Amino acid sequence: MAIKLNLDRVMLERRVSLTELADRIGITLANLSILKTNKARAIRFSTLDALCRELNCQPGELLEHVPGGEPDEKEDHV
Amino acid sequence: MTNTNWMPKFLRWLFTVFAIVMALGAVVFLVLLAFDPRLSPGLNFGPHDVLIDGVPGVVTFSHSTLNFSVLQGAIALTLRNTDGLIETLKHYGLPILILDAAFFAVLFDLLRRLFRNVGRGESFTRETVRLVQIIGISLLIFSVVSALAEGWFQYALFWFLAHNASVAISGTPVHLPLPQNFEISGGGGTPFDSPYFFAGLLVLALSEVFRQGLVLKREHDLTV
Repeated sequence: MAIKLNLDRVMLERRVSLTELADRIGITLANLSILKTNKARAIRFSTLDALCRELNCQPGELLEHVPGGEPDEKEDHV
Repeated sequence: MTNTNWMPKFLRWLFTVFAIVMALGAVVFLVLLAFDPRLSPGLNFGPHDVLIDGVPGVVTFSHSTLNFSVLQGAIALTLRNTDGLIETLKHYGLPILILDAAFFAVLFDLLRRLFRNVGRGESFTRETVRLVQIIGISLLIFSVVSALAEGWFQYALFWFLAHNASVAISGTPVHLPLPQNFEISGGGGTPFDSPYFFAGLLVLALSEVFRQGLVLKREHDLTV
């Protein structure tokens, strides 16, 4: 995926744990882990809004475009 | 919308029962094949009045010969060597019954596993898609195998009747012809007319719908 989510870096800077952040924004630990490990295929505006509110940051601090990153097609093959 | 939550569980149990019945049937046919049933040498019966499609007839069996006449003797069928008929039915008919019962036991077991997954809410998983694909492919293969086996059985039966049966119409003997060619059965002479063939194609088409459903579900699961 060419879009990278720098959630782990922002969480480290804000000294917030995964469990605590999950509780504060109201999503499951499993889903937050998907975001943190960059396995997510998409993020809802509502989730991004909650993350920015709780981490006191801008979307640009969380999202990064990695040039040359290929779209992940492997997941579509069953 | 009507609540159909009970359906996967019901179908799972229904297919479990069917799979067990078919497996038992296959075992019974295997035992029959092993036991080698024969008619008692001194067995005689008849004449008995019978009705075939509303047409009255008379059946007599004596000295290993079966006589059957309808329309007051206007059409008479005489079958010599009834032990041979039983042998033919046993060696060519029973294997087909075993094949059918074994196939349906496996098919119902696959359906049972499919509806177990559906009941758990796992309709769009890799295993479910694989099960649907296997069901479709096995139906296609069965349509061909079953048509070949039925053709083989019909050829053997007609060959036996041509050698051991005679028909007389109004006293005039009619010669039963020998089967000329081995013909594939299953409808109009090809396996493609078999209902299993089209059921297999339909299920394979549905498996593609399931596969696309799985891709969408993954997309949904990874949208946070």
